[in-house]
Parts: sequence; C-alpha cells; structure tokens
Amino acid sequence: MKSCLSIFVAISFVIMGIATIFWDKPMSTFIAVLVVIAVIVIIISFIYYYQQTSAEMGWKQTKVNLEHFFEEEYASFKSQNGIPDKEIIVKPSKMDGLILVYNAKQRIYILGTFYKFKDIIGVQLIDQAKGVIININKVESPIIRISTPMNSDLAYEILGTINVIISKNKQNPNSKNISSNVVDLTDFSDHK
Amino acid sequence: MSKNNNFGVDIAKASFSLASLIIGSSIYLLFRDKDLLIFKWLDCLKLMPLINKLRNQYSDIHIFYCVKYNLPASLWLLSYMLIIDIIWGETNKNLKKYFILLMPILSILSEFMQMVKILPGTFDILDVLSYCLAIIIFIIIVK
Repeated sequence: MKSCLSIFVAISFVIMGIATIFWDKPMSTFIAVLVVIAVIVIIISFIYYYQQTSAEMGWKQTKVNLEHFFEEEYASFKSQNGIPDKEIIVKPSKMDGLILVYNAKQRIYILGTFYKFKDIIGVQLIDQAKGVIININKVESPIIRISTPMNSDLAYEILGTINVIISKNKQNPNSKNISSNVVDLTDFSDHK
Repeated sequence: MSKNNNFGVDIAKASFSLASLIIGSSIYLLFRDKDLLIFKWLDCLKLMPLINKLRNQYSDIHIFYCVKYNLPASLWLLSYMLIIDIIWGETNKNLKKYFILLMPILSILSEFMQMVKILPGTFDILDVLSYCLAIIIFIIIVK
C-alpha cells in the first residue's frame, strides 16, 4: 500500500517536473517520449514485483519448512521426555526458544537446556519488564538472560513460573542452594 | 513519541508540503515564460485564458531571479520528500530511503543531463544548489 502510494506520488512529481521543461517540438513527440518512459517504468515495476513475490514465496516456504521441522523435533522431544506441565514459547518454531516445566521430574527445560528445579535460585525482571534474568546454581553459567522485547506479559509469565519453582524449592526440605532472591510479584517497580 | 504527537507532526509536514507545492506552482504559472510544457498542456485543457488573466493581474510584480527560476524547483523537491516521509512514517525500511532519494537523484541528474544536452533545457548551477538546499531543509525538518 505504502509502495503503491509512493509510486503514485513519485510519478505525479515526475510529471510536474516534466511540465516545467522547455518544449518546442510537437506534442505528438512528447507523447511518444512519454509512452516509451511508461513502457520502461512498467517493465521495471514488473521485474521488481516478480522479484519481490519470488522472495516472499521463498521466505514463506522456508518458514513452512522450519515450522514442519520444529513440529517433528518437538514431537520427538515429547515422546522422549513426556508432555510438559507448562509450556512457554519465547521464540516460535525453535526448540531453543521454549521453556518447559516437568513437575514430576523436578526439571525445567530453558531455551535448549534441562535444569533441576533445585538449581534455579533466583529470577528478576530487567529492561523495564522486557526481559528476565534467571539465576542458576552453576558457576560456569550462573545466569540465563531471556529477552522479550515486544512482550512484557511473557516476561511476567516467565517470572511467575520461575517464582513457583523457587517456592517449591523452599518447601522441599531436600533441595539445597536456595537463595532469597525471589521477586515479590506484587511489586515489580523495584526490579526495573 | 505518541501517536497524537506523530499525527500533529504529520499534519504540520503535510501543510508545509502543500504550501511549498502551491507556492512553487504559482511562481511557475504566474511568472515563468510561456514556452514551458505546462502551458501547452493548459492550452490543451482550454485553461490558458484563466492563466493569462491571472498573469496580467500580477504582471507588475517583479520578483528576484532566484525566486523566479530556482525557488520553485527547491519547493517542488521539498514537497515530494515530505510527502514520502509522511507516507512511510517512522519506519527505517530501505524502500522509504529509496523513494525519498529517488527524486533528488533524478533532479540533480537531469540538471547534469541538460549540461551535456541529453535532456532539453539549460544547466543552471543554482538549480543544483536549490535542490541541495531542499535536501538540507528536509533533513532539518525530519530530525
């Protein structure tokens, strides 16, 4: 729509520009020149449109292929690990874009890696609720940063889920390494 | 920037663009020589009597060379760039840049093509400078 409008404006202004040139030849010559220019513009537009459409079709096909591949991969994952009790999609159609909670196994799958519940020791919102940091009880990789730039609801959902896990850890006498870094869900203002 | 603010800015840009176009066109119609193509078109549309009447009314007004010959081109280009900017909004798409740059490039190129006699008309460095001025004013407005 914007492109069409811009083409219309551009053509109108080109016509205005042409209107201001000196022309001492007959009008028929001018019309002939205009027809030639119009044919060239139409050919160029057609080529551009064809390229755009081909690129768009290719992109759509790639997306369909990726979605199909993801569905197969996820089905295989579920047959191996069981159906998760909770599923949060951070990035669609990517296994490393999922957060999956397995209550019975006391495991959480975060963006491609399984963690034990007891290893989840803290969580906080960052970037004005456009992201989350999860603290893990691992010296080599103590934090997981999850960016949710367009969706603060998603950040709150992750925060809530991780807080439940941390709460379960507190209730479970067998779990160790539990920090007090639990965010109070009623007050996010201190955690921007 | 909020949507209301954007709308206000767009209205201001649109008004500026329209005013530029009207002023530029008026200078052409009222003060330029009649051997321009536009007058042939207007003649075909039987509008020349009206134009002649207006030209006679304002014939005693003398305007500067630059205003008569260079300012309209500058206003025309500025008007175009502002309209394209309004159409595309705050997007950073390359297509927006292409459309905005299309007319300045064509205009400056056409001047140089006049210099080497590929296009009809007379090369005027002041025209090139007035196009550059329009580009500078546009950048100031949109920033």
